[in-house]
Amino acid sequence: MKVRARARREQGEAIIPMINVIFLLLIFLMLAGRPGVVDPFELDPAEAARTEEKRDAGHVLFISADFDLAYAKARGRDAVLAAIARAFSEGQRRPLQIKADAAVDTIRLLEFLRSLEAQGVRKVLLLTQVPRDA
Amino acid sequence: MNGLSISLARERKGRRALGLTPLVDVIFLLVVFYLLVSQFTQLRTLPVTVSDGTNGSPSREAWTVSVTGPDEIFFDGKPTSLERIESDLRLKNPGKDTALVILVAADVPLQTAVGLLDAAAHAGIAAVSLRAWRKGP
Repeated sequence: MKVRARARREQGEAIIPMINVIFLLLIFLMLAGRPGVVDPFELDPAEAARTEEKRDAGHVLFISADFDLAYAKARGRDAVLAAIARAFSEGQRRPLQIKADAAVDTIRLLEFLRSLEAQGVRKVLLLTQVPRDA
Repeated sequence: MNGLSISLARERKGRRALGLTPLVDVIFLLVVFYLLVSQFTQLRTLPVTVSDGTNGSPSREAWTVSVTGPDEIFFDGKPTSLERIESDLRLKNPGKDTALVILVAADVPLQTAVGLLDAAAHAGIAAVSLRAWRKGP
């Protein structure tokens, strides 16, 4: 009887703290993380210390360091421009959000912004990240 | 007496098995779900107005910052850096009408341009434009 009681107590002591830890981990993840869309390719956005506006909901134009483009389901320059033109002709009012890699050539980005202007885009929001050492 | 103890033991055993294992499974699945779906990098936004500014020279009232390379930044013809540019701009007392033109040469990474836009905004200059700098023939 004593052996059985001790074995049961040991089993109980092993599981309950583990459940507590997992619950705490779950609560941490729910509070700290924000559900978001997975980037279509690896991106390291530019760092800016003093931008304060928070990002908006909606589709994001992704630009990799090699200037690969992705917007919603569209991939490649022509498909992305067509998809953005469609979105703005269908009444998108919010500014286009761009998540570009920090290593993107600025002149190439400016040239692409001119192409976007031709599609009716007047204002873009460049997504940046808080510096890691801040 | 014997039959009663067997039925009690079964009942206790059944209750314990029902309690913990499915709960742990569900919590584990929730943890895995949140680990995969969550993003922890805090993204901010930097507003940029899209306009055709690649042709012509900047207006006379506008201050000009030239960027010829990732770490080659010039303001008023003098070399400066991303760390110093904000204080350099403040030293010239920017007013409400002050405009800043950032001329960017080829092979300048976006990080440098964003750093300059950020510094200009913090120095109190609202009208900042980013233009491509083409070297003359």
